[in-house]
Order: sequence, then C-alpha cells, then structure tokens
Amino acid sequence: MQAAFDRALESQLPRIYAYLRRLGASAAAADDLVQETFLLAWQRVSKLRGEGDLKPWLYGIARRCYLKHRTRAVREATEQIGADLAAAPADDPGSDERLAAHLVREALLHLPDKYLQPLALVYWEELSYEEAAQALSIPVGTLGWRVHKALKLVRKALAEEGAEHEAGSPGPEADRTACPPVED
Amino acid sequence: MRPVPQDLKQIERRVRRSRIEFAPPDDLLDRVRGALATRPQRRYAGAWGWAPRLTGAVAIALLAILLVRTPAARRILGPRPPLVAVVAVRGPVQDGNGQGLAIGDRLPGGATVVTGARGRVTLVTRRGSEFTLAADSRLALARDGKRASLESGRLYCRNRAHEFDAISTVAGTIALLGTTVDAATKDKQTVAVTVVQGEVRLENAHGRAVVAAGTKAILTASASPQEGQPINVAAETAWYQGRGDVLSAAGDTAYLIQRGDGLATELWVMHADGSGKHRVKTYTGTYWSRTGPWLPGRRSLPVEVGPLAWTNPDFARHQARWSHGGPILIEPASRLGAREWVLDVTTGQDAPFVLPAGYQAFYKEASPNGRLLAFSGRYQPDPKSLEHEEGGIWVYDLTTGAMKKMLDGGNTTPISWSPDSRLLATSDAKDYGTSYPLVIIDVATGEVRHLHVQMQGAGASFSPDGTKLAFCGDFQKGGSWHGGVPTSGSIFVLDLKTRGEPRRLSPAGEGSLMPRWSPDGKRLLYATIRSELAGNGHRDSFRLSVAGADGTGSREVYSHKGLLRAAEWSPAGNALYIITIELNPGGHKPAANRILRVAIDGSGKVKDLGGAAEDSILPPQERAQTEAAFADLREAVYQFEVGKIRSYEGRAKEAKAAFRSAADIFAALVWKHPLAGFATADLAAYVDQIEPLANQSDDALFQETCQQRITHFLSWALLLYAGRERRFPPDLATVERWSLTTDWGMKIEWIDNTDAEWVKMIFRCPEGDSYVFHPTPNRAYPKVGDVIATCPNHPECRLVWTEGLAGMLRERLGIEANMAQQRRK
Repeated sequence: MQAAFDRALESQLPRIYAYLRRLGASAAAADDLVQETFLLAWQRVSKLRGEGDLKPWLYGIARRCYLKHRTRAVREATEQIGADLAAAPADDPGSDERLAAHLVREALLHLPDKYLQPLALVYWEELSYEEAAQALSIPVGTLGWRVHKALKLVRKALAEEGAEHEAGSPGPEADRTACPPVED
Repeated sequence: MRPVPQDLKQIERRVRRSRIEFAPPDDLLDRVRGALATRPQRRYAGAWGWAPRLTGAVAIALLAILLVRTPAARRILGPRPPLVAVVAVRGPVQDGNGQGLAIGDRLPGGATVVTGARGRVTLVTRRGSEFTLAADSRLALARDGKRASLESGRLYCRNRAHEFDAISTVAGTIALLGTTVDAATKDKQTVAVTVVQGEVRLENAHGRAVVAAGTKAILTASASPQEGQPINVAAETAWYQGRGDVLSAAGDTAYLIQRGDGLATELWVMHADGSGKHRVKTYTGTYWSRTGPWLPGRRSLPVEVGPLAWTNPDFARHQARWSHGGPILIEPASRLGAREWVLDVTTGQDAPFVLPAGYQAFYKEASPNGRLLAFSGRYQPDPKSLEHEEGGIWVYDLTTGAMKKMLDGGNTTPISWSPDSRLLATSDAKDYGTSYPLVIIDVATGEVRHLHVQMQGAGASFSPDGTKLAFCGDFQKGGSWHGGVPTSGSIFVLDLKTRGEPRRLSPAGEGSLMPRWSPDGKRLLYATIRSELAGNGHRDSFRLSVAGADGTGSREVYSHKGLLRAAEWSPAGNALYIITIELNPGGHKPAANRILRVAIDGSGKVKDLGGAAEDSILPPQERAQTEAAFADLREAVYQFEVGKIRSYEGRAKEAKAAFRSAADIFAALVWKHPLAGFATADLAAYVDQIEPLANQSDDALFQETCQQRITHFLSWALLLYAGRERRFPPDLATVERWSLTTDWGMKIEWIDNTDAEWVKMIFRCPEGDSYVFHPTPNRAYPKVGDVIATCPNHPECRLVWTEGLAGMLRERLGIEANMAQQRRK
C-alpha cells in the first residue's frame, strides 16, 4: 500500500491540485491544501482496503480539506477569476466562450456543496459515477439524482443571471450582452 | 447573452466545457514528499486551523453544559440508575468493592454482590423480579440490566415479565424465558439448574437444550446441555424456602399485630421478658390472621393471613365507582386470596405453605420430628363441584409429598401428635358437634383404636414422655366451641399403659379445655372459658388453673376478662405465657393482643409484656416506609376494584389499564419500600394473579364478563322473580321490567335494582346483545339440566338449571312465604 501511495502521489497530485483550483482555491491555498490532503492521506493510508479506492479516497480527503477553507477560498477565487477576465483582451475571439464558461463556473461555485461536488467530480474531474459516489461517501443512485438536480439548479441560475443582465443598466456587462450569440 | 438552453444535455455540455486546466507548481511534489518525510512534526492544519477547532470545542462545551441540565442527559451522563434494592440480608454480604450491604441499599446495573459463609441476600427490581443468593456466592449484574452473571455459588431467580434475558454461569448461559429458576454452581465447570416455573434454554459452545418446569438439568461446560430430569422441586429449592437448619429460639414469643386499617398483618417477636421486640415480616391482609404452634426446633411457625380486606377510613372519596356514576353497594373490602406461610422468625425467611390441590385443612399439626403434617379437613377434587367431596383426617408427608387418609368424616377437632411422631390422638367425629369418640391412630399402619367407648373426648394432648393422654371430655349438651372443642367439658387424664379409667382433673359442669402439660410432665395447665350474654354482645372471661397430673392440688393461677388465644408453659416450667385478645368496642376494629407472663411459683406475679400495635414500635425510617407502602397498597386495591367494576361493565380497555396499574404497584412495592418488611412472595402472588387480567384479550375479558353476568347476576334476578311471582317468567324482558319496578328486598352483591344502567347490564352480553331465554312450558319451574338462557355471542356462556339453583329457589319460596305471612299479620 505504501508503494501504491507513492505512485498515487505522483499521478494524482496534479489532478488534486487542479481540482482544488477549479473549486476556487487560490494558487497559494491549493498549494497548502494539496500538502494537507496528502499528509492526511499518508497518516490514514493503512485504513484503506484496496488500491482502486485510492483515487476517490484522495478526492474525498481533498474535498474535506477544501470545505474547511471554502468561505475564504470562494471569495478569493471569485476575485481571482474576475481579475483574469478583466485582464483578458476584449477582442479576444474566445472571450464570449470564456464569459459563458465563467458564468457556468460562477453558477456552479455558488451551489451548495451537496450539488457542487457531484458536478465538479463528474464533469470537471471526469470521475466515474462510482468513483464520485465513493469520494462523497454516498450511494451511486443518490449521486445520479444530485447530478440531475444540480444541472437543473445551474440552468435556473443561468436563466436568472441572463434576466438580470437583460434588465440591468448598460455598463461593462452591456457590451458583453451585445455580443452575438454563438451556436452550441 | 446566449439564451439559456432548456435541455439538460446542453447544460451538461456547458458545465463540462467550463473546466479550466491548472498545473501544479513544479516543486509541489517535492515539497509534499518532504512534508511526508517529516510527517510526525508536520501536520498542517492551515493558517486558520485553530479557529474551527476552538469554535468546535466551545460549542461542544456549551452543548454539554446544556445537556447536563436536561433529564435525558442526566440519564446518559449521570450516575447509573439503581437496578435492584436489597430487601433481605443475613450474615456477611458485600458489594464488589467490599462495602457491606444493608436492607434498603440500592445497586445499579454493573454492580456485583458477594455473600460470605452463612450469608444470604435478596434483591428485587422495580418490576418485581427477585434474586436470592445463597452463602458463598457471587453475582454480577450487567450494566444494561438485562443479564446477570452467577460467578460462583447458588442463585434463586424469579424473573418477572421477561425483565432479564439470561444468566451466565461458569458452564454456559441460562436463557430465561420468563421463569423462576434455581442455579447451583457445583464446581468450576458444572451448574445444576432447577426450573421452578416456566422454562429455560441452556446454551453453551456445544449446543442448546430447553428445560421445562419441574425438572433439573446439569449444565457442563465441556458437553452439550441435556434436557432436565423430573424432580421434587420443593425439596430441591428447600434452601430458598428457608426450612431446614434450625437454631433454637426457645423462649421467644411470636405475635401478630394488624396495621393500616386492615391492610397488613405484621409478625413480631419478643424475648421472654418482653424486651427486644422487633418486626420479622409484613403480610398483606388481616382478617382471621393467626399463627400456628412453633414447628419443631421452635424457630419457624406457620402464619395464616386472611384476605386483603381493606377498610378505608376515607371510603367515600377513594372508592371505585360505576362509569355512569350510579349507586354502588360494594363492600369496603377486596378479596385477593388468603394465604398461608411458614416463617422462620430468626431469619425472616418465609415460604408459602400449600397443600396439594383440592385439600383444605381446618386443624393441622406438624409432627415433633418435623416430617409429617396431620390435618383434619376436606378434599374436593373438582373446584366447581361438590360431588366427590370428602372429609377426614389426612397425614401429609412434607418431604415426599405423599398423602395418606387416616380417618373418614367431617372431623373438626384438633389433632395431637405423640412425642415420638408415631401416634395421633383426635376424636372420630363422624357427626359434627354431637359425638366425639376419642381415638388413637397409628400413622404407620393406619390402625384406629377407640380408647374408651363410653367416653367422648377432644382436644387431647400427649404427656412429654408419651405415656399419658390429657383430653377434654364429658361434654354437656349445647354450649359453644373454642378452637374446635366444646367449652362444656372437663379435663381427664388417661394412662395409656394401664388403660384404666380416665381420671377427672377439673370439676364437672365447669367447662374446661386446653390441657397443656408442663415440661416435666408432672403438672397440667387448663383453661375454663365463659361467655355470657351481656347487653348487646358477649362478655368473655377465662380462668387458668394448674393441677398435678395425678389430679391433686388444682388451683387457679390467673383469671381475666377477655378472650384467651393461647396459653403455654415457659420452657423452665416456672411461668405461663398467655396471649389474650382485647376486643375493641363494637368488635369491628382489629383486636389487640396482650401477652402476659404469669409466675406460678406462688407469688402470682403478672407481667404485661405488651404485644399490641401501640407498643410494637417501629424505628422511624421503617415506620415511614411502612406508611408509604400502605398508601401504595391502598392505591393498588383501588385500581384492582376499578378494574373489576370496569370488567363487569364490559369496558375492556379501562379494565385492563386499571389491572395493569394495580399489578405494577404490587410489583414495585418491595423495591420502593424495602424497609416495610413485606414478604416478596406475598406481593408476587398478587402480581401473578392480576397480571393475566391486564394482559388478556378483549374477547377473553368479554367472555369472562358474559359468564359472570349470565351465571351470577341473571340467575339471581331469575330466582328473585320466580320466588316472588311463584312461577317462571315468559321472557327476559318481563324480568327486566319487573327488576326495575319491584323492590327486591335484598341486594345482589354489587347490584341495587334501582340502578337502571345496572339492570340493563344483567340482561345483556357485554357486546350488547340480549341474552336468549328458553321459556318453560306453562311457565313452570325448570327441571335440573334444562338450559334456561344462552348468549348469542358466546356459546359456552349459558345458564343451566342445577340442583344448587333448585335448592336456592326452594329457599327463596320459603322466605317469600314467610314474608307474606308477616305482611298478613
């Protein structure tokens, strides 16, 4: 199990780092959280039953570490991503796509953890349903239901966001709403 | 802004696309590896790691403080609640920490009880289960209060209402299935299990076996449990019953007092000089309570306690009532059964004394060797029929349980044993109260010898050396009886060796009885009892005289106005102990004893040793608990009465709730008031009697009520109608109308026929349907065997005309004829 852990450290560290960043952790926070995750995992690795469980298990630990810092992290992340966007050139042909992605992320990150995690693990981290369910310590059926419900919540959040933009006063956002829609 | 797609597939795609790629800093892997290498030193908790921990700690502390203040938290966090109360202690008894235990102590689950040599302890629970530990035993109670562990020694366990699951022993587990069981550890891996009641399942690593009541099984750690072998359970559990090893308590006097307005009888013991009065035991019930003579060894004696007859001073308020509030003519007394006990006064250990089913004793006497019980009485094999009833004198072997009939007939006179336990002296009283031929019976051969054909005799007594017989004889016509002996006779002494004429000791026509030999056999004590009509009642008086066995030197030693209960020689033969009964005016309140010591050395000194409730003073704590127990007892009786009345009314739910409440109070009484001295088996008998009533199904209760209504009340109403109208009714509606409009002139137990609700009840099944009447031709009286009424719901509930009913009808017709004659006058 120790050897397996060493292998996992190498292969999973970038993924866990990315996962935490995607959840909104800043570079510095993600740095710390990755260390914390692997430390905790190292201390508890003896409790693990099989190697196959390692990946979801690491995600589970990472999520719990992240939750401890979420309040701070979400705030930082929002600021960070906002700054990234502001720094992006307005005529960038991908900017509309980036804005749409940003809105989706924003909607996701404002979901309760209960709904955020299933989406993050399944669509961002590309875990299987089984792995994601294991990471969250919930039955697969529950996970499926939560994914479905979370997608609906995202749709609702996006619709509200859109309505707000349309009714809102012109400003920096007004320019963006004026952009022609891109077909999916 | 792009329109928000409604299709969730598209949302899914957008979420997937919103993923951003991040790459970790190059040195992160190395830093993590470094951190892991120094793992014990670095357990990173984040910059704010202490904050949630501190908040959590504060929250937990606050929660704990809050919880501690709630009853639920006290249950969880506080000291464990007591599980058992110590109600009887003898010899060295300690808990697991070596602390001595005393009556009234309470122990929680998890406690251990240890008895030393000659030690013994009885523990009871709130729900009425009982553990009695013999000497050199060790019992551990499980924390959950569902199991106990007999680590060594012997245990008698009465498991009420499935309170405990199992007892573990060195040889395996005894799974209790609501039972009474006696477990004796034989050695390191063997336990003998005797099942007194119910059944148990024995389990160990090798298997399991079910053992039924009345059998004994040996449980061995190394083998599979076996079924039990049939056994004499009474003999096997004799240690628990407290018979056997007898110490001398010579000179001590036992007496009964009554307390709590008829609620309880207490047995007290005092020393020869009247000092050291202490209570040994409390029994429920008072009427006709009496003690028998000391059993051999003068350590234990029979105690007979009448039914629990409760006279409530606050009757009007604390009385069960009909639901509709109608009048109730219930007697202020509850009869839950009379019981007899054998009580060891030195240890307080008692055992219910029961003759085999069907036998009833009027006079009984244990043999001097303590093995046989002779009694005059009756035997009725079928409790519902008098058909095979027989009277006579039997000898019951207390060790083997064998029953032997010695004499036939309606004997009601006392029996006396010879000192060698071989002969019985009594009178062959074939016709009650008219003829008393004195006989001697050889118990071994059954031979009956008529001693003196011309002489009548009763109340005989063998001299200490067994060569002479003193008896009462020469009875005059008429007169009264005292203790089964006519009060009109004289005392005679018969020499059994020479078989000469009996020698008269007391003058003829005086009425003497109760001959008692002095310990040296040289003198005789006898009593002369007088009862004269005076004013509204009797004036009783008695005289005691002592005479030489040869008939010389008869002189009066004491006379008193009152009733004589008993008179005995002191063991040294220099004094008499007399128990008199001082009746209270009116005669309704319990009578008070007085115990007197009369010197017969010529000084004639009389010492009043007390013996009444007033001078039998309990220590304050015992007194307080006794009073509290009486309050509980009153409530239990009240609830029982309510249950009975609601049953009569067919209100099943209310009836069962009341019975349940009564049973629970009886079950918890000893636990709550261990210092009140109540006999655990006495109260357990009430619980056993009432609990089935609380647990029965509604259908069973309705059927029982229906049975009572149709056989008890409806038959009475029919008898009253038939007696008054001199013919049988055409239908029940006629009797019902008649009942409501006619003064019955008498009351049927609880019924007053002015109460319409009640009258309606008599004629209907508790499920509401009227009873079906089977009219007789021409309204004639029915013949024996005719079915008069049936219930449409309960085919087994029916009224059949019996010989008994026909007799009662004849009686009614006679009464009615008398009343008519009176009216004409």
